[in-house]
Amino acid sequence: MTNFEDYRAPEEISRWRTFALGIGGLLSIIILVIAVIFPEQREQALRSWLLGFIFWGGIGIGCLGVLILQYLTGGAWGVVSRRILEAGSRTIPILFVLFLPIMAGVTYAYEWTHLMDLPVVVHRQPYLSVEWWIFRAVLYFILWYLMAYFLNKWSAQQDQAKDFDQAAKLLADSSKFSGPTMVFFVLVVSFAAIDWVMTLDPHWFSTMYGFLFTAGWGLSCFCFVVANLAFLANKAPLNRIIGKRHFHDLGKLMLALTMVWAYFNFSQFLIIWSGNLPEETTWYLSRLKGGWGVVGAILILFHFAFPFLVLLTRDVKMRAKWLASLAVFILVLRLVDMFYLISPNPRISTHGKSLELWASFSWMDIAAPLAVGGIWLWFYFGELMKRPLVPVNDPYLGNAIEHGKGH
Amino acid sequence: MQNAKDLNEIKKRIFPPMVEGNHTLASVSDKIGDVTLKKRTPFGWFVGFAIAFLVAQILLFTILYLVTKGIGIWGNNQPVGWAFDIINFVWWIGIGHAGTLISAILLLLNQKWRTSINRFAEAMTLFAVACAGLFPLLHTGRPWLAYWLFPYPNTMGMWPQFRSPLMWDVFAVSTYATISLLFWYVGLIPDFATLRDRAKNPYFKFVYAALSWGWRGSARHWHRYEIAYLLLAGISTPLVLSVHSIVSFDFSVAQLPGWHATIFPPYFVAGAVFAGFAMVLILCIPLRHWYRMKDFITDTHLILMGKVMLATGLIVCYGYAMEAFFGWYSGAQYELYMVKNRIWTGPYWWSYWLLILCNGLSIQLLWFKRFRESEFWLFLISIVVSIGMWLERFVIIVTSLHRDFLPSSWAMYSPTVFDWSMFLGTIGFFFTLLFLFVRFLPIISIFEVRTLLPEANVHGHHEEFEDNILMSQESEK
Repeated sequence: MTNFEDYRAPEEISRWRTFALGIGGLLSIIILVIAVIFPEQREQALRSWLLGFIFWGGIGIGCLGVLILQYLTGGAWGVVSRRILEAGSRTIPILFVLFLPIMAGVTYAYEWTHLMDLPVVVHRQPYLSVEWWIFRAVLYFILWYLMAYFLNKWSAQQDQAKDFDQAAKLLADSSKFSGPTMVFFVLVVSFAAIDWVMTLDPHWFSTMYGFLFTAGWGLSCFCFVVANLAFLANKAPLNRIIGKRHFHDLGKLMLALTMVWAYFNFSQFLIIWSGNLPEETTWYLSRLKGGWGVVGAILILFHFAFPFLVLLTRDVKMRAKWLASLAVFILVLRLVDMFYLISPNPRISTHGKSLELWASFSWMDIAAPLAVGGIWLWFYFGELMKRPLVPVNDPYLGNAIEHGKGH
Repeated sequence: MQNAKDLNEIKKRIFPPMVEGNHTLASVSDKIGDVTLKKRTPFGWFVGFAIAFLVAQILLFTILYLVTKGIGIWGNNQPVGWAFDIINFVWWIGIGHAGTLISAILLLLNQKWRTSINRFAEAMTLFAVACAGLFPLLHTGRPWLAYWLFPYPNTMGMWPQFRSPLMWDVFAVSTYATISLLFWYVGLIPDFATLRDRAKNPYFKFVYAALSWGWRGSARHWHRYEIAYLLLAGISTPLVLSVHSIVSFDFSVAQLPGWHATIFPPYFVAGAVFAGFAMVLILCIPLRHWYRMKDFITDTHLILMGKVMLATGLIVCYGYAMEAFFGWYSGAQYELYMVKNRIWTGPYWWSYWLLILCNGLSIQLLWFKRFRESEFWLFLISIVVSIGMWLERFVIIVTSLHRDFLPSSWAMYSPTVFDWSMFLGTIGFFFTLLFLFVRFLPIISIFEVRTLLPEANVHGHHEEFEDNILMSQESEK
């Protein structure tokens, strides 16, 4: 039998856990108390909480998506990052808990819940009613949970596999399961993005929206994986496993998704700008004036141009520390991107007007992502420590390790 | 400890070989090179070429008539001012995308299976782009003035409209054609040299020698060659996305319901790759039979292509679903009408459901291994998908235009015989070029297939791989 103790995550992670829970728990309590006691703060608190949830939830749900993806594509990068992806995918339950405040406060966060006699909302009733919205959210979590449950179960069984054939069969099962699951995953992510973020603006819509989140959450996940691997790479056990070429491959995927993110956003902008239809342009108009244009420019420069140029060089992709620094940088910009998508939307308190950048910015936009992140990371690190850090019996493991050492 | 036979089994299972049979470096060159150099041209080739060439004549006659009479001979009218010309343009240009994806993106992703299909996929791209280019060129009515499309300082004081995606099309498609040609040609140079060295016929020898630009296969040649090839792959990669994105902008930047949707760029790109892989399968299944190339274009290749077709087809279906959902969700009068008109109340409802049948339902068979492994089914599905992708453009263009904002201008569209003859003629033209390619150039990249053989990997993964398997087995004990 393989000695699992050799592949345990390093102990220092448990120190990180306590720290994360401390910060996350404290800030969560503060924000929740404020939201309960001060009704006029409730909308802002929920919006900030949503920002944190969409950002961290995107990483966790993104991990599930990339886990499914790597079973479909194969490749050494998938084998070495699988346990991180699995741990991320097992955070679906805590994500549901973190989503409860939004579900409870749906009528304080979404303007459409107050516009039930607006013709367009009346037309959308079969889709856009509070009961349906809650039902769908629960359904999304159940589906995600099931996807994560089976893939994690088979992967755990693979660790206990007695011989090569059994391990190979479990891998084949996971791959087979992943094909159709990918279809459902993309659909669920698309509609979750529509429900939770797009409907913040009760009028606007865009057919691209689901793809924006599929690609964006995928990018978040890859950045998160790179940051994790770089942190673990020089400690036992991963120092025997992770090589330069793994980072090179993951860096290429980061580059690809950075480009895809820009491509989707640019296409959406160009089409809406050219069409210049009143029901669509308002969304961009409120994101171009009142200081928001600066945020847009920051996104173009630092969410796309800068990472794109840096990731073109081979050196950066090969060096764990450099790549991880860039990954964290992109993650910060991912948060800015979510802020740009969420915050300028019309508010209930302003009767449907968008606020300017500084008027809409609140200290909770920083505190809530930290709060959600603390709790999420606490849970995630706990999950990460439960299993060996590599799928020890995977048929491709030997080859994946060899691949990493190459030039 | 497992014995060697088991190891070979395991190896074969988790890394299926990309070249089957017991091939050596020399036998690969023989097998592929002999098709052009030694073997007698098969009778079937003459028959096929003759048919294709005859059909291509229809194109020539149509063009002649078109140029003398003007584009009024087409069925385009108000409100459907664009129909077969743009449908066929988009259809052909989409088909080309598989070649670029295979040659560029799969190269960057280290996918070894691209090696034996890239050559004819790239040839297919070039010929498809040539067919596509004819439509915008001829729809100007005066193709000898087509250079007006380019922005150049002129005495007329006229500039093209830079805000129009039709203008971007000119740049995108001409860049695409240039890069695809370069990529294809650069890939052919070492093979031209091989043919030069093996040709007995002095004329052939002379032509292949000229085409190979003095390639001697020295280390320095190879070193520069590899860099150039990788750079070309890097340049081609964005082209896979950009060309069809810009084609989708032709529609989506307009305000017409059915055209104006933000999902269009990725959905068009996926559709293009989808149609392209269908065409690659249509071509490679007969080719591997007739020229006995099953050692190089293995069943694994077909299975993988089937999977790519399924994946891209599902993205296309996602596009249909989102278009329909948001058409309803928008609640806008014109959008709602478009969806209804397209799906059930309009006179073209049948084209939509045929499209769903061809592109949506037929590919669901590819979920099953049985169908992916069957040449017959793959071939059939590919043909159905090719028809479906043509219908998709018909649905987008004709059904969106024929009932636009003003009910007084509504009208049906009917193509004339010249619309059909032009389309049919381009198919003949495409196959004429393909037959010539199959006869005179190596249909599979000789030197790249050689790199797949075990002897090409002296320090290859084989021994390392066995070590790893053995190690992991031992550590378990």
